[in-house]
This record gives sequence, C-alpha cells and structure tokens, in this order.
Amino acid sequence: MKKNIKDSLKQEMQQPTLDDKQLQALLDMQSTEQLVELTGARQYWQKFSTAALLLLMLGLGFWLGGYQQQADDKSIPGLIAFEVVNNHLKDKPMDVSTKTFAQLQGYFTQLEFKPFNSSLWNGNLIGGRYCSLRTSPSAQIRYFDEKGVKQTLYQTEYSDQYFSGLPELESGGQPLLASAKGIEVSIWVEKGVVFVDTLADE
Amino acid sequence: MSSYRFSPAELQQLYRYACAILGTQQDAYDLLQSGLEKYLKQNKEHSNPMAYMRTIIRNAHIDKVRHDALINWDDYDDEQSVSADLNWNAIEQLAIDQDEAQHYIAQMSGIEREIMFLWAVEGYSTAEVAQQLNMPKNTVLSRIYRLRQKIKDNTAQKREVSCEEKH
Repeated sequence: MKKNIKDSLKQEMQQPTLDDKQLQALLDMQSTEQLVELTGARQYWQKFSTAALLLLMLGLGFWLGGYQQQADDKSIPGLIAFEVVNNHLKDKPMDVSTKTFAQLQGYFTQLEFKPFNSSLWNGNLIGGRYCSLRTSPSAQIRYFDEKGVKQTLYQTEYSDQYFSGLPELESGGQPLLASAKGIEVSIWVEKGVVFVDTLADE
Repeated sequence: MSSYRFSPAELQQLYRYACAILGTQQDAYDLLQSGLEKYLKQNKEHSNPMAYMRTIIRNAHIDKVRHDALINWDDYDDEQSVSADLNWNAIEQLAIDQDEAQHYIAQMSGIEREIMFLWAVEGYSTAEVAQQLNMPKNTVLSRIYRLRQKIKDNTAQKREVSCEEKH
C-alpha cells in the first residue's frame, strides 16, 4: 500500500534496533563506575601526552623558526593564499595527467564534489592530485594559462567553518585577490565549491 | 566529564542514525559505541546532546571512510541548479509503498540517507538539516531534487512497462 514518502522512509529507517545486550552495554558505559575507569585511564594518558606534546612543540618551534615562514595575513583569504602558493611553489608531481575535466572527474572520486570547469577559468590542463586546503580535502589541479605559465587551481567543498565570507558568484560576488610570497591568487565560491587560482607571472 | 546520560530510546535513535549513514547495520554498533565513549570523556556540557552525538558519529564515520579510502559511500555529482521554491513540499507529495522505500534507501548515497533520516525520522526542516550537516542549504535542496527525480523516473518507467504489458 502506498503511503506518504516521509512515513514510508521513516518506517523503513526505524527498523534497525539494538538488541538487549548491546543496549545494556551502552547503558553500562554511562554508569559511574565505568566512567571512573574511562577518565582514570584518561588522566594517565593526559600526563603522558602532555609531556610528549611539550617535547613535540619544542621541536616544532625550532623547525618552524628555522625553515618555515608563517602567513603574515591571518585573514581567511590570507591563510588560503599562503597555503595554496606554498603548494604551487612545491610543484609536486601530479597523480593523474589529463587534458580534460571529464577525466579529472573520473579520478577525483573520493571528494564530496566533482571538480568542474568554472566560468571564470581558462587554461590547458596538465593534471591533478589530491590535496587539502584548510584541512578540507581538495583537488589540486595544474594547468598552463593563456600565456603558457604553469598555474595551480584548487577546488574544495565550501564550508562555513573554513571558508566563511568568501564571495559567491551565484549571489553576485566577484573573485577577491589575496597574495603570499609575491604571488597573487584569485578566490571565489561557485556552486558550493571554493576555487583558488594562482596568478603567477612565471 | 559530560553529565548527560542518554536514555534507551535515545540510544536506539542514535543507532538508527548510524545505520542510516553507513547504509547497513554492520559496524553501526561499533560506531555508536566509540562515539559514546568520546562523548562521555569530554568535560563540556552541550545544549543539544543528541545533535552533538550525531556530529561525533558522523565525523568518526567520515574519518574512517577517508582513512580506509572507501569510495563507494557517496555518489557525488555536480550541484544542479534548483529553483528557489524547491523544498520538502516538492517531495512530500510523492507516495511510495514500503518495498519502494527499501529500494530507494538502498540506492541512496550516504549523504542522501543522512538527509532523509534527519528529515523523515528527526523531523528537521531544510534549514535545520543544512545546519546540522554544516552544508549550504542549496546543497540539501539539490539532494532532495535528485531524489525526487529518481522517484519520478522510476514511476514513469513502471508506467511504461505496465502499458507495454497491456498492449
């Protein structure tokens, strides 16, 4: 018998049930005794991990001081530019070589979107590799621009947490420019995807 | 440590949520158990413990999927343009039977099942679903649009088959 789709889906999705044993185990987890065990173990690990963390931070401090530069601009566009430009300059090998977005889409199957050709983008594709931008899984795409200069295009799924305030084309926004290490990047949001395109001179 | 304790009914509901995002009961218990442990170890109190637990479960699932490089949990397409007035009403008018519900759920991607769970079982609005999943409202609308198309196409195919059989 046909029913309203909401009721049918609800009925179907409410079928799975914890059995008595599983339910009891979860209720027991919330009991005071088990919580004491959990937090007791936690306190031990906290002490251990605090010491380890201090050592790690000390080492990292030396490393950062010696070899890494910090982003000067701490705004979201500034941090994005810093990360993208750094990776553009590293010029790591591509995981896939292709000249078409269709093939790129076939490769980037683990992202929560399919990379696509933006109305603002123009170039000759070289290939792509998985990467991340502000911890968000991304497609790092390499291409030659109209002048034959190698550029990097990032595409990643938009989230308010990491990319709030970026201009959305659909809402009439225009790409904004940010720069790091003397290289400008153009940033915009299109169809729920953040685009970051390097504008390197050479 | 969090002082809130989940009731048996709430644990059952969280288990169903885990089943919905996994698409199977296998591993759903483990996911719920590890999520609960993580929740209990925290020192914070949350205004909406159920929503917070769902976020923990969801993040743990996504981490595992990425770690294991499992790629079959989602079928992500380019977002389609959707008209501004598209909302749950557009899909609520459809009627399906229980076998069809089972069939469509099996066909849905992880994110689609999650959206449908929040809508059908938890009774969330589009805006609330978007907020819970931390995704743009348009993305939620696109998923609804796609599911509605699937159901419509399926219904149309059935009609064609039925007409051919009559002739």
